[in-house]
Formats: sequence, C-alpha cells, structure tokens
Amino acid sequence: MHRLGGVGIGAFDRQQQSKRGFAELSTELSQAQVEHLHLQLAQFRSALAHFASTNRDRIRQEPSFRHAFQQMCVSIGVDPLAGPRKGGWWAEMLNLGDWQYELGVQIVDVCVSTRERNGGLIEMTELIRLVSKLRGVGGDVITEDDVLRSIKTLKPLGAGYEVIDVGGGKKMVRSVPRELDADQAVMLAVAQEDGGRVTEQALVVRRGWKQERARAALDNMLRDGLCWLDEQDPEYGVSYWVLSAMRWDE
Amino acid sequence: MSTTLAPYTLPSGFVLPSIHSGPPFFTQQPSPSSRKIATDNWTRLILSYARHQKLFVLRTEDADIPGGEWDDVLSNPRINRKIRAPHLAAVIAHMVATDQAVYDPPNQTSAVLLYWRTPEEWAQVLYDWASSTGHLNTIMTFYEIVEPPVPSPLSDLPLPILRKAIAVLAKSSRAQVIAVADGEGVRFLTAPPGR
Amino acid sequence: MGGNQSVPKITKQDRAILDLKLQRDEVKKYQKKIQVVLDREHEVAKQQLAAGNKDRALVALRRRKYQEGLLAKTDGQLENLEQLVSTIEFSLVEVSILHGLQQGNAALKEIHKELNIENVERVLEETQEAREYQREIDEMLANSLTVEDEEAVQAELRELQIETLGVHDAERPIHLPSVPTEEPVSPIRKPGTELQSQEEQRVPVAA
Repeated sequence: MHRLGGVGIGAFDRQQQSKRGFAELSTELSQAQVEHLHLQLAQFRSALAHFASTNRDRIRQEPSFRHAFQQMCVSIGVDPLAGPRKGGWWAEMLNLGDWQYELGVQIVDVCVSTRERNGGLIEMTELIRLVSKLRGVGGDVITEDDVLRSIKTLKPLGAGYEVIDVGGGKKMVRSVPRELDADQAVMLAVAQEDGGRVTEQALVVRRGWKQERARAALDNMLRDGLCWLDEQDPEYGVSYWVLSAMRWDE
Repeated sequence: MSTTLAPYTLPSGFVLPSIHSGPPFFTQQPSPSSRKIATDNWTRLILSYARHQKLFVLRTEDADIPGGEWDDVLSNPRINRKIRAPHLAAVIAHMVATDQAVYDPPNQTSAVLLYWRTPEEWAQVLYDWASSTGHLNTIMTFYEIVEPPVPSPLSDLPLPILRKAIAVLAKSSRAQVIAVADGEGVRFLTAPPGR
Repeated sequence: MGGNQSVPKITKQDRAILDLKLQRDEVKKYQKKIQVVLDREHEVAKQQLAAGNKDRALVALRRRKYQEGLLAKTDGQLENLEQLVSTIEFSLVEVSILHGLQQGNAALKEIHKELNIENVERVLEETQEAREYQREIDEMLANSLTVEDEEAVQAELRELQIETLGVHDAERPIHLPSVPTEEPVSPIRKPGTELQSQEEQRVPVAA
C-alpha cells in the first residue's frame, strides 16, 4: 500500500534523511563560498603585490605615481601599511615603525598636493603646519625632528626627498628628484629674507653675484617652476617670487 | 609689502582666493607648468566672479578699465598689480578652448560670453522657470524671457546663450521654436512622460 | 508615443499670437528709448537754465512734452496689444473647454445608450422574479424538514449563540427530570389515606 506523502514510520526516516541532506549541502555551499572568497582575496593580494613589485621602480621614483598607488590602496580599503605580514611589505622595505611611516606618507601627501604651487619645494614650518592639519593635531605635536627622521627613512624610496638648509635657521624640503645647485640654495635663502621675493639686484648687492650669473640662475629657477615672474614690481620693475617661501593662509 | 597670501572679501561679499594676493599672479608666466597653474586659477576666478555678479561678457579691454565691473578681479590695488590685456586674452583663449566661454560675436577674439552655466544647465533653469511661472504651452518671445517685468534668473541672459538653451530643450521635446517674418518665439511644452 | 509626436503643430493662431507679442516687444523697446530721451531733455533743460539760456531750456522742455505725449500714446497701443493677445489666448482656452465639454457629452450619451428605460425595467423585473424564486426555495426547504430536524437546527442555533455571543440566558436547554435514584416507597397505600388526599384536593374546589 503506497500513500502519497507517506504517513508510516518509513516516511519519518525519509524526512530525517532529507533534512540531514539539506544541512550537509548548506554547509558545503557556505564552505565553498568562503573558500571562493579566500581565493579571491589571495588572488587580489597577489595581484596587488605583483603590481607593487613590477612597478616598484616607478613607485620609488615618481612621487605622483606613489601617491596615486597609495590612494588606490585606500580607496579599495587595503592598507598598504598593514600588508600581508605585520608591518607591511612597504614598511618592511622602508624599515620604519608605523607611526613614523604614517608621518612619512603624510609628508609625501602634503609635498605632492602643494607641488602645483611651490614647484616641489616647501618650507619646513609650512610643511609641519600642513601635516599637523592633516592629522588634526595641534601645532607642537609634530616636531621638526620627527619630520627630519621621517624624511631620512623615505630615502630608500629614491624619491629624492631632501632637506635643504637655506640659512637663517630656515629649512626647506624638496620633493622633486632634481638636484638643487648651490646657486639655487642661495636664492632660496635670499627669498626667505624678503618674504619670497628674489631680484637680480638683491643677488648682486647682497651676495656679490655678477648680473649675468644672477639672471641665468633666476631663469633656471623660473623654467623649473620653482619661482614665478612678476613684471609689475614697483621697486625693481622685474622680480621673482618663490611661492614656497611665501605664507599661504587658507 | 605683505607676503601673506590670504583670501580677501570684497564689499560685494565675493571672496578672492589667496593666490589673488600674490604679486606674480598678474604676470603671464614664461614657464609652461607655472602658466598652466595660473591660467587654471584665473579661469576659476573669472567664472565664479561672473556667477556671483551675474556678468556674461568679458572683453580684453576690461583689463584697462579702472572702476569697471571687472576691476575688482582683474586688478589688486592692495599690492598694486593688475592683469595686462594680452595676458587676459591668453586666459580667455584658454577658456574658449575648454568650452567655458565662447567668442561673441564670432570671428573676433577680444570679447567672450562666459559659460558659468553650461547651455544644458541654462536649459534646465529656463524650463524650471517656465513651468513654475505658468508659461508652459504658451508662446513667448525671446525678449519677454530675458527682459521680464519682474527680475528672474534669466534677466539679461544674452540671446546666443538663450538660443543654445532652447535648442537643448527642443532636442528633448520640451520646447519648440516658432519663427515668423518679424522674429522668433518659443513654446515650452509639458514634459513628455519621463521614464 | 514618440518624441516628435508630442510636439504640437504650429497653428495659424500660434503665429498670430507670436506676431502680436513681437509687436508688443517693439513698443516696449520704443518706450524704453523714449524714457531715455525724456531724461536727457530734462537734463539739457536744467543745464541750459543754469547757463542762463532760458529759451533753449524752454525748447528742451517742449521737446520733452512732445515725447511725453508719444509715451502716453504708446501706452494705449501697448494696452490694446496686450488685450488682443489676452483675448486670443482666452478664446483658445474657451475653444479647448468647448472641446472638452463636447467629448464629455459624447461619453455621457454613450453611457446613456446602455441605460435606457426598457433595459432598466427589464432588469428590475428580473431581479424581482429572482427574489420570489429564492423565497419559494426557502419556504420549501423550511417545510421539508421533519420536526426532529427542525429541533436539531434550533438546538444548533442555540449552541452557536452561546458559543459566539456567550448568551446563556437566550434560552436554556430544558432540564428534564432525571430518573429517581431512591427506591420508590411502597406504592400501595392504605386506601383511606389515598382517599383523604383526594378529599383534601377537592376542598379548595368546593370552597
């Protein structure tokens, strides 16, 4: 006798069986999903590592590329600081603690985002001010020493971050991979003395340069975007302004 | 001379950006990278000021008109600098090249209409105004749109921009142009059931 | 509905309205111009007067008066134009209202066709017949029940009442006397007593 739906003891067993079957299937499915997810994550991580290693040179050499890479990591929720191992592959390569590293990243951030207006040269106090603003901390939390140490640990990147002493206790940070020659350092110092302005006359009078030397050096600075031309100077007629030596209030 | 670059608020309430207080901003930069930065800043400044003051026309001569409607932006008496006409012409050329302005009349390069709203944006403003003032499905002249008895967002809108905006609306069946011997008119249509 | 279909045709009336509005704009522009002239002549008159040229000031004022007359005239013309435009636009609205009314009327007629008196009477009659028929069926059903059935139905109704309404006092089920549990006392009594009771019963009757 066979009844639809089964009411006998046998049906009970059948029901139990199928219940077990379903449970097994569901664990199997979720396991597969988790595995799949793990696989995807691993793939993604290796792709990222691969990308980082194949582009290591560019990451090292091009500050804007490095900046973009970092932004990419942030935008997809991967912390390049954390990385696959503790400390992160990048931090490992750079050999610096998390805090110092973070500060380094922020220094890079400020230098890159202000490069447009300062040509890759930023005055130390201005840099500290902007980094502090970025971190949302008060004025004296980050010291010049912190910045100096962070910049030193950025050296392995080959980005050419360098601190230049321009005299008068003033320091500037250079973030473009370009050597500043001695003349340019002198001009930066002169700019510091005059609120950012440099003129041929000042170089001649104050530093004893020949006019040709001053003109050539200023033209070089101009070409590199380190200073801007001002043809309407009421005092000198023509003057040059080092934007990074000027104070920006925003 | 002050060397702090800080924003400056004009009596009209418009805030000039920090770079406007930088002396070299008023000189055309010889280095291409610096020039690009300066030009971008000038473009932004001119368009935002035009929007603030509802100015539509900019001429290269405006650089040399003290007390003119553009004087507050094109010069900075606090540092004794002003933009020179050839420099302004270069900025204007850049704006035209990037579709942020158009030479008007065409075939000259000393006067532009400023697109501080794109023709598409003006089309929306125009249509919103027409529907909120009960002008849908009636025939209007261009004159009564740009010279309304009560001031509207479209008061003094130059006709070339109005024409472009109407063309945008006509494409999406929200307006139709009617021409007669003596001139042109427009009828704004109830928007087709959007999906 | 295609995009182009929703664009209405440009009619003769549309063109006429546009023509009128363009003319109105011309008048408005002309008025603006006159206003400028008026202000200028006023200024001229003031200057001439200040310079001592009374005659010239007078001429300027005369010119001004003349222009003022023109302005007043154009005002009238403007009013005429505006009125004409309004009238045409209003007439167009009236036409569309009339059109709407016509459509509504046609729709109403269409509906009335369905609603003629004969139909209504027939439907009403049919409804009446159906009701009669239903009543007959009810009666027949009621009559066809046996007494027991009827009682069972009534009992069920009471149960339902109690169940749904909780109404006990509606009509309690009748309590029938139960079977006596004691042994009955000797049924044969002395005839005397029996009689006596009969007598007793009889007394009130006699009284």
